[in-house]
Formats: sequence, structure tokens, C-alpha cells
Amino acid sequence: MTGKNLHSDQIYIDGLLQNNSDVIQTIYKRFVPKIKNHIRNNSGNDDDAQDIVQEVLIVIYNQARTNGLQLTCPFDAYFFLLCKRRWLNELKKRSHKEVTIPEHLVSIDEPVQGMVSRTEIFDEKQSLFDEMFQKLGEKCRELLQLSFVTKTMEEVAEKLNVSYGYVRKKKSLCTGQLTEMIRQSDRYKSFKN
Amino acid sequence: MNEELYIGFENYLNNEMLPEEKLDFEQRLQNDPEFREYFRLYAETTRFLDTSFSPETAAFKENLKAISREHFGESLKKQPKVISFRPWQYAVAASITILFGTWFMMQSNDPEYNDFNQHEKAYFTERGSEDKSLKDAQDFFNSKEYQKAVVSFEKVAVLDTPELQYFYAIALIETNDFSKAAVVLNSIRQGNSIYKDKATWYLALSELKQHKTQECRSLLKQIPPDAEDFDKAQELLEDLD
Repeated sequence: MTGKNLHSDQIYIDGLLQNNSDVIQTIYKRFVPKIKNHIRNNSGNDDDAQDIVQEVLIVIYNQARTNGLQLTCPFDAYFFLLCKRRWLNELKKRSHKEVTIPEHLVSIDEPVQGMVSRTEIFDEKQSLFDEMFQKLGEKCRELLQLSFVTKTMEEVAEKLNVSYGYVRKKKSLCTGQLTEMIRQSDRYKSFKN
Repeated sequence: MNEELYIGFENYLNNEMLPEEKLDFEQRLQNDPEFREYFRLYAETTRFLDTSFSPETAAFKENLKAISREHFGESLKKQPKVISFRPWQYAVAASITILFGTWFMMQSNDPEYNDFNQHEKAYFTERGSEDKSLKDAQDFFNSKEYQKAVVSFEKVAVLDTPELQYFYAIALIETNDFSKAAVVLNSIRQGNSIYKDKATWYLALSELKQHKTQECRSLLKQIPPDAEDFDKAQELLEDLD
């Protein structure tokens, strides 16, 4: 990814990552109306559009924060395609059958396609992590959650009323257990290719 | 499960290795593909956890929600519906009101979270605190602007007293962030502060709000008779039966 040219629209990704309200508002003003129209014209309403847009922006934020996200195509095209595909999936879920939305946009640029599929793979991975996290024991979940909510492990130890050494060790073992569960899942095996 | 392996990963990620340990570790990363693969997944998992639970992510989501509501709210308000009211419609409206009232009275047997959400006011900043976020959190909390209160709480450097955690947790329940509220409340319950039993009470209310009656009931039963909320807890227990 590093060899490619960063697009100047990277400012939107960075703005999301920094929780910059001006940037988020600009995204809503500049890019969301088109998505609203698309969803309205394809069996949806404004509530649907609101949800889809919010979900996609959270996925972009998560990807940028977790693995870094370097935009190599215009934000508009990338964001629109993500929303459009997510809405298509939602329609399929609702109707339990294949749905096709007429393709007006002729061809989609290869860089946009690549960016979008990387984000979709990330989203899949995120849901695998979430699913496996829920399968951890309660003690592990609590400790892990607390150790990322709280600033330092000393504070975590204090809150749980145990020693620092114990929480440190327990945190590594719980994370290790989570990686073990992820590794053994069939879904993870499919990402590795 | 290889304990040593994971403890090593954690030490390396936190930069807590002696120079020679670190050198060995990095050499192994280079030469041992399986070790490398295990480490890669461990590091990625850590980043996923960090993204999922960091207060910054929570603040981003809150902010995004607020901006989204602002944006979509406006577009809905653009087409106000004007309906002229005719006399016969008053009669219809009146009978609807009566119907509604009856329905409401029939519903009121089931206890709801909203019957109990009269929270005490927060007053924690007089004690020489200079922290602006803390002051904001207090003010937003008292004016029932819980989303904003949550954002401000999360900007506070350390929420290190049970009192602050207690109010933070209430704001989380109000904004339906139940799992985070549970983490905070459970940590208060494990301590020995005066907020210990209050935390149990709110954890029960959080379950009530999620309509998990069973869980709510079992928490209520854990509130001892000398607790401030004991009477309310008994009342709610009766209503739930």
C-alpha cells in the first residue's frame, strides 16, 4: 500500500480519526445527499439512509484506527460505493432473495474497487473479533474491557482490587485466548488467503 | 495455550523488555514464521480491542450520532404538514385522547425504567477541581443532557473515585450504553465505598431498562436492608412479581 499515491481526500479519513466535527459535518453536507437519494430511489427511506451512512463511517473510523487507512482514490466514490453495497446487502437480508440495483455508473474505477473491498474485508474481520470476544469468559471480558477503557494497568488493578502483576499476566492470557479462538474459527481461515 | 508466549508478546508490545531480551525476540520474529504469525495476530487483536473500547471511539460515535441527527432532523423538518382542524375533528381527537388515557392506565402495571430514573444531582467539582471537562460533565448531567455528559466524562483524565464513576455509569445507562455501564458499576461494586450498594441498584435499573426482568430481580435481592435504596428495591421487586 505504501507505494501508491495518497489521495488529497485523505483529509476526510484523518478528520474522522481525529473526531473533527467540522470534517464530519462537511462529509454530511457534501456527500450524504447523494446517498440519501440513492437509498430513497431504491426502496428505502431517510431512516435507512441515516443508519447506513452512520454504520459506514464507523467502519471507516475503525479501520483507520486499527490498521491505518490510506486513501488512494476520491473519498466521494469510495464512500458512495461502500454505502451502496451495504444498502444492497440490507435489502437482500430483508427480502431473503437476490436483489439487483440497476447499474447507472457504468464502470467503477479499479482503485475505488480495491479500497472498498479492503474496507469490507476489515468489516468482516471486525465482526469476527466482536463475535469471539463475546464468547470469552466474563472475567476475561471485564478485564480486557477495563484495561482499554482505563488509562493505566495500575488503575485497572486498583479497580479490580488485585495486584498489578496479576492484571498484567491475566491481560496477556485473555488476549492470547481470544487470538486462539479467532485462529481456530473457519471464518478466520478464509481471511488468510 | 502457551502462557509464556503471550506474556512475551505483551511485554514486547509495551516496550518492557531488557535490551537483550528484545534482541532475541526480534531475531525470533525474523526467523520463525509461525512465531511471527502468532505475534501478528496478537498485535492485531490488541489493536481491535483498543479501537473497540477506547473512550476516544465512544466519543467519536456520540459525536457522529449527534451530527447525523442534526443533519437528518433538518431534512425531515423541511416538509411540515399543515392540517386545518375542523370542529368534528375535535371530537375525534378527544376520543383518541380518552382511548390513549385508558391504554396508558392499563400499561402502568408493569414497572419501567422511566418510573425510577429520578437521579440525584451531581456535585463533585467544588472540591478544588480545575478540570473543565469534569465541570461540564456535572452540568450536562444535572441538566439531563446525558450524551454530552458522557463525552465530557470521557475527556476527564482519570475517573478515579467511585463517585465520578457512579455518575458516569448513570449517564451511560441513560444513553443505552449498557455494557460499558455494567463494567463501571461492577468495578464500584467490588470496592467498599458508599456507592457500592447504589451501584447494584443502578445495575438492576440498567437490566430493567433492557427488559431483562430475571437479571433485574436477582440484583435487587442483593441489596442489603441497610442500603439507601433498599425500600425502592423491595417496591420494584413486588411490582415485578
